[in-house]
Amino acid sequence: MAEVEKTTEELVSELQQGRAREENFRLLYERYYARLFRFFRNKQLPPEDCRDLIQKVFISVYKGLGGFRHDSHFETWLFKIALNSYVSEIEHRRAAKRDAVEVPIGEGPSDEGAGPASYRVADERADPAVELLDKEKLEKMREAMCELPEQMRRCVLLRVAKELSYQEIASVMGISINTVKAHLHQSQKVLREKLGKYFGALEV
Amino acid sequence: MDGRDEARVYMNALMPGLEDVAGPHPSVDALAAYQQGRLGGSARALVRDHLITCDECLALFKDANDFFAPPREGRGEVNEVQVRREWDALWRQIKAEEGAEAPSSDSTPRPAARRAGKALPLALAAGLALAAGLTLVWAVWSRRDAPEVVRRLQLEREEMAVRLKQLEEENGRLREQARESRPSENPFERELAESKQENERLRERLGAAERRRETELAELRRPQLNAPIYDVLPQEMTVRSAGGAEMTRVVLPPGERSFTLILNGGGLPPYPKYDVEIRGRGGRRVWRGTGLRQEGGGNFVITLDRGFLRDGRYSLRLFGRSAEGTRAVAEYNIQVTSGPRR
Repeated sequence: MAEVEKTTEELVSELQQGRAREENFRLLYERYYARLFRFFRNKQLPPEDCRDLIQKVFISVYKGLGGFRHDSHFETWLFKIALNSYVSEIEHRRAAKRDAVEVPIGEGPSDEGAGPASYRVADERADPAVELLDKEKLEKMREAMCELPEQMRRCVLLRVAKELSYQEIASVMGISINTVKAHLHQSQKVLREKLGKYFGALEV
Repeated sequence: MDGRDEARVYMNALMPGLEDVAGPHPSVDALAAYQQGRLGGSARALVRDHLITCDECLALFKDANDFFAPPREGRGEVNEVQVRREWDALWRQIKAEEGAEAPSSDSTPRPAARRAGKALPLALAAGLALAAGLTLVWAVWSRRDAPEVVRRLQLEREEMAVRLKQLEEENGRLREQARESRPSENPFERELAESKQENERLRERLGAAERRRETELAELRRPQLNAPIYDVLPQEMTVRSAGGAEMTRVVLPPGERSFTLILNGGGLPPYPKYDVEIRGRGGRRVWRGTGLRQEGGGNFVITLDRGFLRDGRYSLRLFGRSAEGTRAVAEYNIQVTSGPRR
């Protein structure tokens, strides 16, 4: 008779009870290795660094399992550990780079290699570049966008302003990818009609 | 800057006014729950509204999306052997840190040591991938043309033999290196033992694959009686004025190993050879066969394995191939369904 595969919850519970530690932890490792590898690779880390980070993540998991209280799903907990490991790694690299590189007098510290902009605290001050924008175009854009239905407008914002893929927009909005495509198709026609004079053949 | 780039700048400038910034940042747990569709009602709306306006949370959400999305095929940078080696290193490190059953001083994995032993696992993985790939190719082609399969099998066997020989040579080379760099604590000794085991496993797999193929081939040579045959008309001949193209229903009783499609090719422009491509749901290509020739009456005969096409709708595109290039010449639609026992 074929052996029934244990669920993640069963593996975690047995590990917490100290049962078959090596076997259960290995199954957990094999189950999530590829996912973690893909996650770190998507962050443009070289494969060797991804592997090192995965080892760190699993050491943290092993050490932290005793304190894991099932308040959240194991996968969410693992995601948080992976995220923290990545942020630590980026901070570590940033510090190493700062220590190693001489900054010429008159220039500020470089932000290069500091990791994704999204993890930095946003600058709340007004963007001086906005002051330079054409006021008429800005007003026309505001009018055109405000006339779009809310869901359609949000799809356009995520697509054009945030440069998300159709799939990502669908995930963020919690709607189907076909709905996203339909919204964008319709909004493109409307925006081209209203803003074509200012922005040319606008691609949405 | 093109129109879209310019529009991006203006939209970003308008963002704070166009959308109200919604509430405090959601927790990672809430974002994960939202991504997995576990949030409902107002909590769901709150997270969604927040994501529209908060770049930081949007980036975190994209990370969650990456992490929780089902695995995709592609990169192929993770393989079984690699994962096993990484696991061994991790478990040794954990044991060493726990101080229990402490292994020898080289038990802590060192990146340099890990990297040094990569060539062999890669070679073994390549061997395994080769075997798996060849099995797949064989499975797809085998039903089409038995003599061609026999010839192909022969070639595959030879390729596998060459690959095996290469692996054995690699083993010999490692053995030499290990001998030269005694004492026996040398990591090459361990590598060698592992590689020998891998080699044995590979040899067993190859043997098993060979035996499976022989059995399947014998089965192939045995004519299948009463295999279902379906005539399929091109799409343009089945288009109805109101309801669009008609599907040919391919109803397969349980136990059928294969079925035959006769693609009606009457009136098609003549080409020296034809290719056929089968696309499944969403236009995903599931198979492509090349070198088809027209049978008597201009038809094309394709025999497919039952296990190859699951229940669903498929589109078969026929391409004409000549020295000038390849051109689509016809499209056929079928719906495969399981039917009652005959």
